[in-house]
Parts: sequence; C-alpha cells; structure tokens
Amino acid sequence: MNVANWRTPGVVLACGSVILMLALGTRQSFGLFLQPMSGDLGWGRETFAFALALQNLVWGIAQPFAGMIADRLGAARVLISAGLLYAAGLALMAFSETGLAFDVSAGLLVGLGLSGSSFGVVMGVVGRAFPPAKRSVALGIVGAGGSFGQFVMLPYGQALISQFGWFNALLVLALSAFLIVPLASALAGANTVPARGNQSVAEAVQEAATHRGFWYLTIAFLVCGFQTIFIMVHLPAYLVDKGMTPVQGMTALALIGFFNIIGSYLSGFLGGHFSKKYLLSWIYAIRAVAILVFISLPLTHWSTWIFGAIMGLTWLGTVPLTNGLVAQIFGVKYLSTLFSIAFLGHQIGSFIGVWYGGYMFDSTGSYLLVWLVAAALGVLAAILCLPIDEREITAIPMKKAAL
Amino acid sequence: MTQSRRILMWALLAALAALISYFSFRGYLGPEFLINFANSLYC
Repeated sequence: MNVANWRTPGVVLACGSVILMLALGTRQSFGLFLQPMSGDLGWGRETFAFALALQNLVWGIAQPFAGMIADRLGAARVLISAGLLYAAGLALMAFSETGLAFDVSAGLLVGLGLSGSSFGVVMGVVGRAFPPAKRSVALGIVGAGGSFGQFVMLPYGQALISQFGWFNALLVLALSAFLIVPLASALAGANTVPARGNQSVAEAVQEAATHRGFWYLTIAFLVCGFQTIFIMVHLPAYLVDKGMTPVQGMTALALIGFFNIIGSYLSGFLGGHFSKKYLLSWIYAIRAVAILVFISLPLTHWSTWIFGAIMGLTWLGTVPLTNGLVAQIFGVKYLSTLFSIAFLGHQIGSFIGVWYGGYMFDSTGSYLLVWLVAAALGVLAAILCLPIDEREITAIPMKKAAL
Repeated sequence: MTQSRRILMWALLAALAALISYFSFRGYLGPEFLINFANSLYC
C-alpha cells in the first residue's frame, strides 16, 4: 500500500469518489447553459456546441498524458493542477463574451481539468490502494460516486441557474470544482508499486500495444462511448419525435442516471467474484438486445422506463470492469496511463456517436439506422471481449530479460 | 471501527444518498428543467 497515516484505503476511496462526483457531475450540467448563454450573448448554437466538442476532444487526448504524469510523479500534483484548471475554466466561462474565449475556457481549460481529475487518474490511485481481492469492489464504489455526481449535479445546476442566473451559477460551480484541490491531498503519495522487471512507462505502453486483449478492450470501450453519448444526447429528441412528452423524455434520462449508480457499483462487485471479460461481454450483449427490443416494440411509458433502467444498469458499469481488467492483466504500476489510453477510445466513440446521430437524423429524418448501428456495435463489442486473455502478465520485459 | 459503527455509517450514507436521489429525481421533472429541455428541442 502506498498510503500512510490518515490516507487509509477508505479515505482514498471516499475522497476519490467525491472528486469523481464533482468532476463528472459539473460537466454533466453544461448543456443547461446552452439556452441562457446563447440567448444573452447572441451566440449561435454551434458556438456553444463547438466548445463542448472541443472539451471532449481535449479531455480524451490529454488524459493519457495526465495518467502518465500521475503514474510517474504522483496523482496529487495532477489532481491539484486539474482542479485549478477546471475551476478557472468554469469561472472564465462566465466572463466569456466571444466564441474564442468560450473555446479556451469551456473547451481547453475545462477539458484539461477533466483529463486530470476523472477516471484515469482517480481510479489509478484507488486501484493501487486496494489488494486485488478488494480492488474491483473499490473501483465499483468510486465509479458509483462519479455516476452519483452525474445524476445529482444536473438538477443542482438547473436550481443554481434558476436561483442565481447562469453567470453566478457558473461561479458557484467553479467553487465546487475547486474543492478537488483540497480533496487531492488524500490521494497524495508516490507510486511505489514496483515495476515488473523495472519496466518503464514507455515499455508498458509498448507491451499493451502488442497485447491483443488491450486492443479489444479499447475497441469495446469505443463502442461504449458511441452508445452512451448517442443515447444521452438523442434519446429525448427521439422520444419527443415519436409523440412522447418532454416529461417522459426527462424521466428516461433520470432513470438512466439513477440506475447507473447501482450498475456501476454492481459491476465492480460482480467483477470481484466473476470473470471481468465475461461480465463486460454480457453488458454489451444486454445493451444490444435492449436497443433492438426497444426500437422493435411499440413505444409506451413502460417500454421507455424499462429501457432507461436497463441502459442505466449497464451505463458506466464498463468503467470499473475495464479498469479492473487492465489492472489484472498489466498490473497497477502504470494503471492510470494504460486505462487513460483505453479511455481515449471511449472519447473517440463519444465524438462519433454524438456527431453520427445528428448527421444521420439530418440526412434521413430518422434515428433508425443509428440505433441499428449501436446494436450491431454492441454485438461486436460483446464478441471482442470473449477472447481477451485475462491472465496477469508475469514475464519480464524482453529488454530486461536479455540483460 | 467496530462492525456496528461501520453498519451504522453505511446505513446513514445510504439514507443520505436516497434522500439526495429523491430530490434529484424530482428536480429532473421540475417545471424549469422541463422548460429548458423543451426549448432545446423546439427552438
């Protein structure tokens, strides 16, 4: 264990969960600012949308580097920098009057803040703080913390906008994000896990790149990003297009958010008892079947609610399992780095999912083809998880063995 | 920490989470949230 004194695994877990809650939850509420900000500042919607797309891209690209720095120099430095960047980005969002300023604040600064304060960095520390037998459950709990943040911060953001206006709401959110800085002290400490055969981070990345299972995991994670962002962004519009009310659209999203908390914990718990690759395969298969059944049956309140609940249960359940599998195969020394690379796949999938959904709807006037692609990709991901070799790599890296 | 204290702590945390979840769920269906959501679809 690499924590001392008061930094017990329980404290690391609790603080890591709150950090993820703040980081992921705050980001979740950004969509609520589109209407009031665009209206007051006279922006077109593409100005706002471009900054958020940029944010996702920066988050995905910067995360492997954030993970690498966290693995080498310790997570606290990365988390403190990320907390400051996140808070500064939110505060500057409030003062942005041009599209370029908004791109820098909401896109670049918040994107960098997210890369250093979300899954890759936090889960790397949590993964190292717990022994293998308890690791999966711990990752499930910290993942559930992030899911909880995503669920509660959306109505919290709306309440802030309603009470104080969008400008002050952003400043309050900046203060909330700043809490990441003091919380980071609980995750401080050098990464003292010995590297297998004194393997360097570059060698670890090289080793992962030659492991088929790592590629399968990354591709499956890309599918996860595609499916979740498509559903999150386009499901309400799909439901309203089909004649349902906005209340029903929001109920579906709320159900996804609520069941996501349970699903994240459950997948971590189950990952401690069963094969993680089979659980991942089940998650992708269940999603594919749920999508096909949902679009095949007549749309009713119940079918929407059940779909929301099933998707919620499988929503971020992939994160603790993917993270746990990376830790299981490659060890925890460079967990933040390797998981962050896989997460880049997730973000690329997210980018494609949100764009492709809109593009296909504009081109064909229907989401049907996108739903079918999402289901087909789910089947592909379920199949790809099956041949992953889950065994821990114990061989000494070639270069070292030759010495 | 004793077993009973640990159980009490988890029970309190679960109750708090349930309470926050309840109010969050209500928040999703609140009029302002729905107006914002409806505007994003129709405007």
